[in-house]
Amino acid sequence: MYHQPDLAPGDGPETDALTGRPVTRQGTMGGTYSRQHCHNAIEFELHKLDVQGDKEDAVESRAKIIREMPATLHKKRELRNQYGKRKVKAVSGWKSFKYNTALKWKHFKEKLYDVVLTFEVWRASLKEVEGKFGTAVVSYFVFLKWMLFLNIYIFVLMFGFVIIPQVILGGGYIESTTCEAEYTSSVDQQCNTGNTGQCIIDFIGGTGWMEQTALFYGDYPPSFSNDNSTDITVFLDNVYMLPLAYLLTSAGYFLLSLLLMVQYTAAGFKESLGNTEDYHFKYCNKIFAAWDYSMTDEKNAYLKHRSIHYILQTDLEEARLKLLRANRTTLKKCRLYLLRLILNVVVLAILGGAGYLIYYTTDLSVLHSNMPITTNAVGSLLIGYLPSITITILNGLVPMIFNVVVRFEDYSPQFEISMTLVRTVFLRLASLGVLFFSLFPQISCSETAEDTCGVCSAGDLKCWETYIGQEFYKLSITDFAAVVLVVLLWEFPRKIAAKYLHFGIVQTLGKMEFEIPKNVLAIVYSQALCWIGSFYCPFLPAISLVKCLVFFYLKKWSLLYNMVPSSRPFRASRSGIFFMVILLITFMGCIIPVGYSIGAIEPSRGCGPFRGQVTMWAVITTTIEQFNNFFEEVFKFIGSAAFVVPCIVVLLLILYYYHAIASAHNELVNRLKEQLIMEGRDKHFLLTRLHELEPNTKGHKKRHILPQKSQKTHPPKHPSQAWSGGGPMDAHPFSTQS
Amino acid sequence: MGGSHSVFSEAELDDYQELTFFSKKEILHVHKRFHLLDPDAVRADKNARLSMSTILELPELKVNPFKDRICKVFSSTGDGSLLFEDFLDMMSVFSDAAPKSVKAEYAFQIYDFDDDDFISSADLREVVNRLSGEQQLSDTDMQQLIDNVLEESDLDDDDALSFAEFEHVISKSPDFLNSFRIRL
Repeated sequence: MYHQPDLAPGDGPETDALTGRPVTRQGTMGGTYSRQHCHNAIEFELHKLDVQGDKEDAVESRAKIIREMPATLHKKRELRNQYGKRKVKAVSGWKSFKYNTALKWKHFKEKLYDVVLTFEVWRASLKEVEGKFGTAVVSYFVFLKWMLFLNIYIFVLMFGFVIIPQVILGGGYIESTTCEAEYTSSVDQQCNTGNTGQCIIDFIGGTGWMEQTALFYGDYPPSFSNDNSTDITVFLDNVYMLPLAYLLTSAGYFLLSLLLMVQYTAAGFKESLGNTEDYHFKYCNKIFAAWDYSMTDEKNAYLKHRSIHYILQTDLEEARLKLLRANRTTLKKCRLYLLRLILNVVVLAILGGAGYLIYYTTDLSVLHSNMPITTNAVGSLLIGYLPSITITILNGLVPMIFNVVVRFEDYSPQFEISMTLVRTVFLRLASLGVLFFSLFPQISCSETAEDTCGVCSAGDLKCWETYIGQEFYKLSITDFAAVVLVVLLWEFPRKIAAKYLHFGIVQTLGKMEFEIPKNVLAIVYSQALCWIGSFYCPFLPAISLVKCLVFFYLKKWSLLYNMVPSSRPFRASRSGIFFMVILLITFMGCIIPVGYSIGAIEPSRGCGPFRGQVTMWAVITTTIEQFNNFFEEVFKFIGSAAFVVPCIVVLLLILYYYHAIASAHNELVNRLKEQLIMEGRDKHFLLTRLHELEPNTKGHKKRHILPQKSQKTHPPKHPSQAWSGGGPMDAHPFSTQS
Repeated sequence: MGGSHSVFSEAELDDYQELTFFSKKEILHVHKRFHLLDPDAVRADKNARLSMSTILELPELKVNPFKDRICKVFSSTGDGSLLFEDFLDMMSVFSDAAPKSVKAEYAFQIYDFDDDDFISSADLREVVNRLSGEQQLSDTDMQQLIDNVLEESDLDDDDALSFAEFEHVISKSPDFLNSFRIRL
């Protein structure tokens, strides 16, 4: 069975009879060896061919074996001729049809995928960022892109169902109650009398003429028609009730946001579990399967090189840090935990202080809007903006303190980010919460006052929903301005200074890194403002949309021109999910104030689509009462305890069931991982035995260890080593060593 | 397609179809790409031998860090020049239809820089250097990486990967099939 390599006639270098490739090859590194194992492999396959004989599907299996051989085409042809060329009958009709359809479908899917990719927004930008700064940074931009689309959907909802009807039909309503008249008269009219300065101030502050546009809640009427309106308007009014639409659209956009978030998280889980962190052949996979051979673009190739380099470096760094952390002594650990405890208390104190500051400024601002402290228009504007400015400044400064604090706590880079993120989330949510909490006494009454139009007394807010809408409008604008100003007036000058001035401190200042937690929180905060504020200010999603767009380009520009890649490499492969979890928590936090104001606080009597109702929710209950009894019964039943309690119990059971299944699967995964490792060892052992017994098969062979290497003495790790020195097969006459 | 259809006879196309993982249409397409590399030579002899530098003009190979190894592995003369049949063979191995075992076989040959049937530390070093491009890993990083790779895959502690060990690792890799592929 062992063939001597023979010369093919007329060929320059010697070619191996079986593989068709040159017998000896000059390797790139300088060694010359023949490819013995290929040789053996093919021999083994040929043996299999012989065995096939004339069986039913022998033709096909023979063809398959020949096709899969690692030999040149020339050799394969020879082999095929040698083993008898059967007439290849065309694959029978049904099979060929099935095969062709499957192939065409696959090609179609691939083409479709390519087409979809060309429509993917910002793909080139994302690739550029990923190549230069890594996956963690690009996940921020992906998140931002997702948020843009979310805002587009919310805006379309609000625009289509609330704003358009109002713009088209809203003029038909005529005010009839005293409260409405009182409110209209209380709205600042200086702009209409020709004072353009005041117009601009009103635009920025959302007061005056802005209050009476579709921008704010207050302008929406409870119905489109009045007694004097045309029949069509009355008809439309009965068909499309604006208050109901307003409420349902708001519920709709919350629900839509929730669904999209859950979907994103679920998709992300699949992906992140697929790239398992503790995959056993991690490094091998990273090296041997790293390069995408179908790449044709030079620029992409360059980015891929950088990306590979970055990933490898990151992984190694992380492994090193992990080792360091595992080697801490107990004394060190105790000291560390004590330090962490103290620092956490400090953090809480800081949060408390920030909360108090916000409360104080909000109180001041509301006081001023009821009983003006100054009559100066700009001063008024500033005081109106005071809560927003305070919140924004705190949101900018306090995380810097957190950043410093967290470095003393010595967590892994991944955990550091999580910790900072969680703390900053608390800060941001707390600031909004405090804002609401300080506004709360202004918008609700402990005792019901029947005949005033203000909330509790005649001097109070006449239209508190619009006031809240204004607050969020101002917060949005402040937030936007803050981000833009920080980039333009802080980051660019630093870079420019570092470029032109060359002394030490300026250079260190010039090396800015892209701080992911800070930026992610900024967009989560912006989205929280959008969610809460959209109920009181229906145009806010549009503002949020524009913000997202501007942020993307501004941040990308700033990143590419000002920043250097992080000196402490971390891989946040699950960061997409993590951001989404933060967003979900924020979302839950946003639903509470809005839900409470819908369900429990009396709407203003002088403005808005819910004027005159007991609560905003009452619109729904009155509408249901108008249905015939069956639907009413159904809704009553759904609302009652007899339905809700069993529902909750069933949900809890289902939750527990899935949890149990998930832990069972985890167990299974662990056991399978261990089996994989064992299987490798078994396979290796068996192949070595096989090779020793039958040297010409496609087995495993061991490289000659150079004398120096075998100096290290350690007991054999697995059975194969017991055989490699002095076993009975060592002196086998057929054992081949090249 | 009409032009190159007359280049090969029906029998020849059948022949190629049996021996590779391509359909007839795909074989003609491959020949068309081959023709584009050096139209004069291919017009003269449809199975022309093109030098390595000509082959490396192919966009799919141009940016590949292992392009010279690929040509050398598939070349029937060992110097990197390819006949059309070698080229067809190469594209067949890199196509979607080729099974993992064939790809693993050739991947092993490509990554084995010194052609000694083992992927040693020196080979691994070369692979990593080529992958990371202009910025190289530091020496400590490189050593750590190679140690990790060998620890994961070298089962018999001989500081190198034999084909069996390589194949064992690659067959478990989720990305290998998707990355070791060229679509013409």
